[in-house]
Amino acid sequence: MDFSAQFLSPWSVMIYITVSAVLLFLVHHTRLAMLYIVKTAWVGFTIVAFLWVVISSMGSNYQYVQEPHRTIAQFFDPHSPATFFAGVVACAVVLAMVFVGRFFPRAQEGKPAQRRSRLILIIRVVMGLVAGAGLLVTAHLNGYDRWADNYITALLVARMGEYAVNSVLISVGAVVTSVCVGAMAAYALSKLNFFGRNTFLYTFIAGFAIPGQLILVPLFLMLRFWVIPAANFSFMDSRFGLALIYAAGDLPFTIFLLTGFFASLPTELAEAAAIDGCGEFGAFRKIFFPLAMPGLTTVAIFNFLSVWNEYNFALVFITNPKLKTLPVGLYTLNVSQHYAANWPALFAGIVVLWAPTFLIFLLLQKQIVAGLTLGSVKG
Amino acid sequence: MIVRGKHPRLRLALVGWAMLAPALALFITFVGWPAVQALWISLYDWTGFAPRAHWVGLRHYVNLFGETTVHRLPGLVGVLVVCVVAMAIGRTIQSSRDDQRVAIGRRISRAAGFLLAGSLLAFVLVWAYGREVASFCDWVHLGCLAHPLDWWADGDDYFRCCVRNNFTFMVVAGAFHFVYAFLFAAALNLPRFSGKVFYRTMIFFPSFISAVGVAMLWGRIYDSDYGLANFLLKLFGLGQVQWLDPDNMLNSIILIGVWAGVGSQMILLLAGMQRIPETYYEAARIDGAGEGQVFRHITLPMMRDVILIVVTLWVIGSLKVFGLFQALGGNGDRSNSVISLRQYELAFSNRDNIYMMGYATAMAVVLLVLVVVFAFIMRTIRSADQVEY
Repeated sequence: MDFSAQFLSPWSVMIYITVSAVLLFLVHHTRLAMLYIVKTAWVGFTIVAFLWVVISSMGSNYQYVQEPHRTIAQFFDPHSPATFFAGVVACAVVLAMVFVGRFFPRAQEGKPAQRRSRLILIIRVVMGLVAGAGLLVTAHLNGYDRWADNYITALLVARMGEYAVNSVLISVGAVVTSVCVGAMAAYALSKLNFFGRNTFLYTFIAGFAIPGQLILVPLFLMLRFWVIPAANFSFMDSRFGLALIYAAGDLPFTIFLLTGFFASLPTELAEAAAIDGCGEFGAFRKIFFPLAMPGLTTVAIFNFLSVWNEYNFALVFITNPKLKTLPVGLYTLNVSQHYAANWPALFAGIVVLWAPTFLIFLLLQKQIVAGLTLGSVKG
Repeated sequence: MIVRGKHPRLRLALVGWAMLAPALALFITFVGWPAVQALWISLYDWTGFAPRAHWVGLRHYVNLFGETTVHRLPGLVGVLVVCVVAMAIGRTIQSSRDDQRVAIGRRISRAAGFLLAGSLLAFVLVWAYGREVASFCDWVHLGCLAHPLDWWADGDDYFRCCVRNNFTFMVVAGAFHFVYAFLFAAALNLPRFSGKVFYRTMIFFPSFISAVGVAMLWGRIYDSDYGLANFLLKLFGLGQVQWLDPDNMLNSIILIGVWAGVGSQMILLLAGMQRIPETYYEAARIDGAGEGQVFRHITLPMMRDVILIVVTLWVIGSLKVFGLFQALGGNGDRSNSVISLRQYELAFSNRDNIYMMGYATAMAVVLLVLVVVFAFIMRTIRSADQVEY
């Protein structure tokens, strides 16, 4: 391969300038430069991998079958003016995103610091969107223009759309069940001092130790016989049965977290409610359930992610191809595409699997971090 | 809590039970009862589809571990019984009012706990790695040392390899995990650094993707012809690696596990670091402590609990790992299989059309025992010495 074409293309030179500017900035401003370099390399690889997935899901299968050496190199094609333009824009945007904080002086006495950080955040988000759109447009202009085909193949031909619907139904059902049932139990375990309370608490806590693999075979043998012939319904191979299993499996975590949360709410509230003529269940429904909303949200997010990503049970309990969940569907797609060698469709499937997780993650990151900390560090 | 009515205690109990009932019913039906049933099923030989199951007693466990190991069991059981009795005695002495006797009782129960945890760990390790240790002994012409270790002779060698792979994954990936998570947490904890949220998001996000998604992505990254890993290696002028060969597979999967799992550990460690009061650092700096000394004498002891929780979560999670190995490997090769994958293959995979439900359940029971043993070991370490501050 021609050295100068690969390492001295305008694109590469722009990357060198950007990277060295950022590194110089980091080294200049920190004593722990090595740490930053390791971290930057790590994050850089993650970004490159994600971009690779998104851009490859726009390409054509022809590239992989006929010209494998050009699949990635094509995107970095130094002779394409579009690439050069996009490279200049992308590097400028990255530099601006890193240095944007420098253009705004730090908060003075009496000036709101929040406004400054919000302004910087908005500028960064807009620039990130510009850079992302630029990359996608460049990819499109450089021959990665088959994204419609690939996503249609993944969603319709490989049925990822159906699988996504199944995943949503199962996750929402399981999360609603486990959070409602678990909140009630957690309230009883933390606020009502009745006989046998601790025994039940320890029963649920013991559920943490049970690996899913242990109950796989007994559940399989049990659910085969749970059939309602009149309604033509069976617990095996049904979204309802799988959602119930997930809800039950998430109960220990739900109850563990919510018991602590309810215990931190003042008991006087319940007493005041009782004086005002509220029953025990009414106190839970009208006072504690709304008050526990932050805890419930955290638990719901975690349960949703665990159910959305669950693989082992979905693989065993669902055999009907119409009822598969997304991870199992992606695995099937991988097995079939391995023989068809249709990589772009597989990448489109990966994007479909990741997109909701990424959205949830971006929107609710604060709650997720708080929940992780609440669940394990304090407890 | 004010409860009205003629019999407030009874009413309270009824309300409590009523609120608990749905959760309890769900949990016992789908988790508790199957877990108990698993112990029972593991005593049968059953294809799951044949009308009758054959009672085989503990035969599955004997087949898993081998006759030789079973003959060594009385020794282990003896040690366990002695330790448990010593712990019970220590606890009894601890409950006395005399301070000196309480201290003696605590020392006894702690020593017994350590002996128990250590002997369990040694037993498991010798069984899993015995053949490697023995061949090393032979290699250095000390074959006589190898002889006491030949427990594996007639066990299920495939299963032993799976246990060993699980342990290798746990230790090697765990070490990388922890070091990188700690480094990243330290970097994010530094006061003046822009782009904290961005870095946190990008390091944290991979731990939220489903294991299958991660495995699919890395299966493509590792591809020898079109993959990103070899492309990057070529870009930097380095040699090509056959990542997905059976020889390299376990290491490749460990690399994936580190990439995908560092984020959540980092968040926990970061939360622990942020709880350390700044005044401690200031006091240490005024006393003239260097960075290393501050780390050794303030950061590490203050984060002891968080570190132990992180390690416990990793140890238990790595024993249960399934998706990565199934979706990426899953090729029936014993060099890159783990307990849960082997169990799944034996029970549900129709490759050979043998559904060995009983045998697979026995494996799952062994997995449960391993989880409990490692949880106990971590608990023993955690209770070893509490830091006073």
